[in-house]
Amino acid sequence: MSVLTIENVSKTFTTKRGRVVQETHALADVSLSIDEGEFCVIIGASGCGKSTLLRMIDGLTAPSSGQILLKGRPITGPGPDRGVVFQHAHLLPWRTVRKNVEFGLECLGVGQRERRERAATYIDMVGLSGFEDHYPAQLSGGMQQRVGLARAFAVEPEMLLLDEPFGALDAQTKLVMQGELERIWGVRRSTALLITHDIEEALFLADRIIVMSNRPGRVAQIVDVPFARPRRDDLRSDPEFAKMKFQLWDALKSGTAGRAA
Amino acid sequence: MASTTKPAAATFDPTGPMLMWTLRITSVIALLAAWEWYGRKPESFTIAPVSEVATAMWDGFASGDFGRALAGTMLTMVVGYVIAAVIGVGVGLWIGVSRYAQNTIEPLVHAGYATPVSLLIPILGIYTGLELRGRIILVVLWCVFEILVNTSTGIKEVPPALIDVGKSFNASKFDLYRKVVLPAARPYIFLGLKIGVGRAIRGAVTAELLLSAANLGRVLLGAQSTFDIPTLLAGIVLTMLLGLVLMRLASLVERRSLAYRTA
Amino acid sequence: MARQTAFRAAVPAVALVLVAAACGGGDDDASTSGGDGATSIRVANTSPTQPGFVPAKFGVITYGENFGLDMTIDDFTTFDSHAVATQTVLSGRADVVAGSLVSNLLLNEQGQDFKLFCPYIAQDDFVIAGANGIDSVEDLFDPNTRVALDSPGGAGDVILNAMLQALGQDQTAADIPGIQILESSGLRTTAFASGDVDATVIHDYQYYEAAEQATDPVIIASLFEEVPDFVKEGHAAPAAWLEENAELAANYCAAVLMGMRELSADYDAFVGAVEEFADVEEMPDDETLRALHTSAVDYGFWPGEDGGLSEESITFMAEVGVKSGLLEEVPAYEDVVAVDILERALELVEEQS
Repeated sequence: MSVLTIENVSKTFTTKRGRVVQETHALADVSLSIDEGEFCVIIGASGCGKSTLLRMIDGLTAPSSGQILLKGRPITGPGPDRGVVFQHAHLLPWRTVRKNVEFGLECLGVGQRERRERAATYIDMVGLSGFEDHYPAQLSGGMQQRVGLARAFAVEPEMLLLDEPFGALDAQTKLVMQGELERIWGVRRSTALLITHDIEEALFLADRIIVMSNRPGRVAQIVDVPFARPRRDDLRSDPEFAKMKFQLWDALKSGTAGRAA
Repeated sequence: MASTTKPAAATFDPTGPMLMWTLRITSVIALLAAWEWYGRKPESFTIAPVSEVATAMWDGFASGDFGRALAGTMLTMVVGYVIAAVIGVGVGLWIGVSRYAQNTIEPLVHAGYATPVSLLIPILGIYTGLELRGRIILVVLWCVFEILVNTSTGIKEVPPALIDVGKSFNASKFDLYRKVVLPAARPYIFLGLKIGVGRAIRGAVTAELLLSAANLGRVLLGAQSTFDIPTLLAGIVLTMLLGLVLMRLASLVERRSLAYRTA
Repeated sequence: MARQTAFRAAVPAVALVLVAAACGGGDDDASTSGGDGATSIRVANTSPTQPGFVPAKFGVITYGENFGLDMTIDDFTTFDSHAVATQTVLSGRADVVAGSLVSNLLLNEQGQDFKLFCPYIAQDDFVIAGANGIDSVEDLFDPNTRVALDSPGGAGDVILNAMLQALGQDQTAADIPGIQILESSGLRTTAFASGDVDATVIHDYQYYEAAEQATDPVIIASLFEEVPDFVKEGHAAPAAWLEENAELAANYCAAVLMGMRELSADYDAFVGAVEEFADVEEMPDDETLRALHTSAVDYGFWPGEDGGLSEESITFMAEVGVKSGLLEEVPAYEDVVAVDILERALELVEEQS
């Protein structure tokens, strides 16, 4: 059953510089649907509008045309049914780990006792027990993003939106965090949409990969990923994995061909 | 690199603080000795020897004059500062948040910020009164703009990404300001409040000198017109110490409340 | 690290010591100006040159040559306080202070051996102004009367005390219960005009400005009418310097006296002198200047004939100082005035005319 349906969505940004009005077509006629419990990854080079698409799903911006339906209802703004993990974690620096994880719950009016319990659960889930009273500045980038994950999971959304969550991390941490996300996601298997430009990350995490082309962003190709779960790091050395990686690279290249380079 | 310098630094550690304190104390003693020597020279008239200044300081406190002056100046300063903090943070928030306030009030604030308050004293005196009320209003004028401008800047400088976080997690408009915007602007607001402390002291003493003379201002003026140089210098030192202590206190409060940044 | 911090902490202190030492050392080179054959004096003024103060500069620039002086307007420097002007002389960067007589007596009592040797300006146009029904000196001492005055020892304070003494009042400004300290006469005028105070001491032209707004304004007393013995400001110099440079000082004073005589006799010359020497932003109007000139001539603002600084007037001023609590005692006349120099200056003026 489809949770999220995107129908013919386009997005045009208008920027004014003095008298010069410039229009940027970020997305053109994007349609796709995501099924319940599916881990979907959108991959594309930078500037293909994938982050814009995610912001529209989150409800922070509205499409210029077309519509996005969540469980059949059009999205008009952010809602408790979606939880977002941001690229740079974007924790609130004046809040401790616990208070950061509780933030979304506070906004939903969840009582203090339940907030405490849920925060504890998810902090434990992302492996940060013992760090509850630390401030973000005391944590490494990887640990900060674990808090970011816990914060999004804590509101127990029907859909998880991840905006290049590991893009700012170093290569090793990134691999570790991908494994962690696979493990944590595996617990509840709520619907997830992740955006990345990292082919290997997409393959490792996704049930389905949507390859987007550049300027304006369009859906270029949709690839099903057959690997069984739970996935472990040895999957990365699987010949099929390598083959698909190559295919995706081809798809990405043709998506950007003639425009970038 | 780091591993080779660390042990070396460790061997310095026992002597480090000692050396530092020795130098500090020596330099203070040298400074006081130089002051005494210079003040004792027959041709130095505007600089009294430090021993006489210390005596004047002692007498000032023993007679209760300095204590009363200090209390009066601090009262003026604290009342004015609190009013300025409330107005400054309040209006600063408003300007930061509301486009209307940005268009109507902000230009006035910038004009007020750029105006040297002391220029206005003779004119202001007519409307504010020359006694306590006038002095308090001057203190407010002296520091309110600093607090206000810093607050509105802080609001405007809140990273858009954090606002997105708030919105994404369904913060109501009220929660967004209370839980995201205000705390994010706190470093600026505290900076404004800290600078405001220094300006409030200057404002209080200036008002006491230039409006109806009172408290520390009266001590300074009285000593000046009777050539009581030791008392004059003692009064100046007292004013400096007051500023030093209050600024230190403000820094301490600021550091405490912004501890999360460097934790 | 700790060591670095310590050095850094020590730097300002060391720098201060060096600066202080440098200042101290520098004095010795500069302190010996004048001496034999000198033809100029460096004068430290303690306040801006008001229109009534112009005769000294006018005389020195106009008649200096007649007395062997070679001085320009650059030999006069204006400071904003008596203390700073005095320090400048003590540090050897000026020779003579032109400033408040009472301040000079106070300095003398504090052990600075300065002697008066020449007049500068004897009188002032200060008045005691009253409003809101306050119209007598006695009213000032009513607890309900709000009186604005400058700090004890300030010009207004001394002038008020002088007037009180001349009017036979036993009390002084210190006994006024409703006193409010306002240093600037401009602010006192504003406060008086707006009714914030009931009485104050201000210049008479300020009184006339304020009188338009104040309720029932009245001049309770005027300094130059009530206190003919008042001496506002004079020229003073360290006694040692005066001994070494007696003739130079007499020549300087002779030029000052000539200026006073000339400006007393010639209103147009006075207007020209105000234009050239007064530190005013805009020229006062003719009416104001004429009134000032008339008062100056009638009430001896510029004692060019006898030099002022008589034993009687100095003693009177010292008594005012004692009553005001500024001075401990009335000093001996010879200890504070270099009479011989003033007399020599008068001789020189006579020789010229």
